[in-house]
Amino acid sequence: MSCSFREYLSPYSDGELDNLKAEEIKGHLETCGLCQEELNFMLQIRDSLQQRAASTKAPLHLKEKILGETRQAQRKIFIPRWNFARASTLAAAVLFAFIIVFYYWPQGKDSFTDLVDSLVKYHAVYGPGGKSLSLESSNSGEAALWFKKKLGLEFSVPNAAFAGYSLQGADAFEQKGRKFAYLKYQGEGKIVGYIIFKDSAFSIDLPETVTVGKIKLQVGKKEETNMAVWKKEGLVYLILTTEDRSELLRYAQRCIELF
Amino acid sequence: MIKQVRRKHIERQALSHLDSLYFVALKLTGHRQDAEDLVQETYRKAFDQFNKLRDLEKCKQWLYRIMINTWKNWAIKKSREFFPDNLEEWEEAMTQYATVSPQSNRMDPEAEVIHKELWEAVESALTHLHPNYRMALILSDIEGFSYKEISELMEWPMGTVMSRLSRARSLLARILTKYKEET
Repeated sequence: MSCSFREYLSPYSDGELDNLKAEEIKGHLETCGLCQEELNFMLQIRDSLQQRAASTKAPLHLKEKILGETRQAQRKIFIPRWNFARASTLAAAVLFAFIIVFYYWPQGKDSFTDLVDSLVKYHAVYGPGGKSLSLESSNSGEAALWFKKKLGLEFSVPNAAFAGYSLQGADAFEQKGRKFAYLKYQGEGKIVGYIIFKDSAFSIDLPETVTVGKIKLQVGKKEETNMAVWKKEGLVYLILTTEDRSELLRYAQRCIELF
Repeated sequence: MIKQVRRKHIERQALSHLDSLYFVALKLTGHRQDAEDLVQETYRKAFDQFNKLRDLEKCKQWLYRIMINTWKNWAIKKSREFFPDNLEEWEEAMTQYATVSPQSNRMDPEAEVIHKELWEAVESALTHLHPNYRMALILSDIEGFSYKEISELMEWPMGTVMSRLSRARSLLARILTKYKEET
């Protein structure tokens, strides 16, 4: 049992009828129970779908995977496809600018924030399925020895099993004249990254400060990545994670004790 | 360098649609892992050809475009569900399912919707719709694309957009009849 106006209900609900027709349908709805019911049901379905869509979030590791891939791809595409003469002149200019910016520029507060930004991105590169580490190991002692040998950096490496994450390995890199130790921990497809480096002039603008014992912890977010930064005995420690802050803080607390 | 800046900009924009894309991918594929793979492939392709996106305002549509095409190719290659090309055949089959009693056919969509929350019923019913109908409904009801936008995105004539939407809704209503009766 249906009404002859039924075929117009769908486009009416989408606001796709011309004004004249829409007015006609509107008028009809006031008197036709069947159409009213049908329209209401259409709107209920729409509501339900919209609610579901709004509450559905993509899994975190998916975003990491995507970011990781695009970072990788970008590294490969750094060969410009212009003509060679232009490319080499530009390369020279860029190199010159690079030298000026990174070696002669005063390492003030702003450059530290830039640095942290690039560290966050570097961490994304090690997402699941991402770049492989120079040292693949789940042995914290081994990792500590490796850093001592490779970078001359000495610190104890936490065995992260307590937080449900296990050590995957380590890597070392250099940026803006600083050498960094990177540690990767993984649990349930999620990644926690540690970055450690020497710094004498450490300052960073993160919204929250949490005091743990004698250590002042800076906590904040950079590009969807939660981070906690602190300094101890001339070394700066950075934990990066996309997990919720409370876990991050517990983690940081434990690591401060260990480090 | 300007290219890099633009790329970062597009990346950020594109990633802001991740949740929506994921939801649609879930509805399209019906499987969590497939949905993840589809989304990942979509972004990979998008970033490979990011310079093809001229108008940043159309970023979402651009991504959907890529995702739909990717999924179509997948569906052709290896699909866990088989959908006949002939829509009329499919509708015929669907109609039969809808009228068969719950006990006699495992695949009866109606049987699944009894005693569920509306959203569960709707999601369940959605999986029984032909992908064309599903897409029409999702693009209209969830993304709020106009008929014109859907027409451009799916490369369907306007009349087809309208009729597919109409059909999708009436099919859903039919599947959900039992649900309606109970509430």
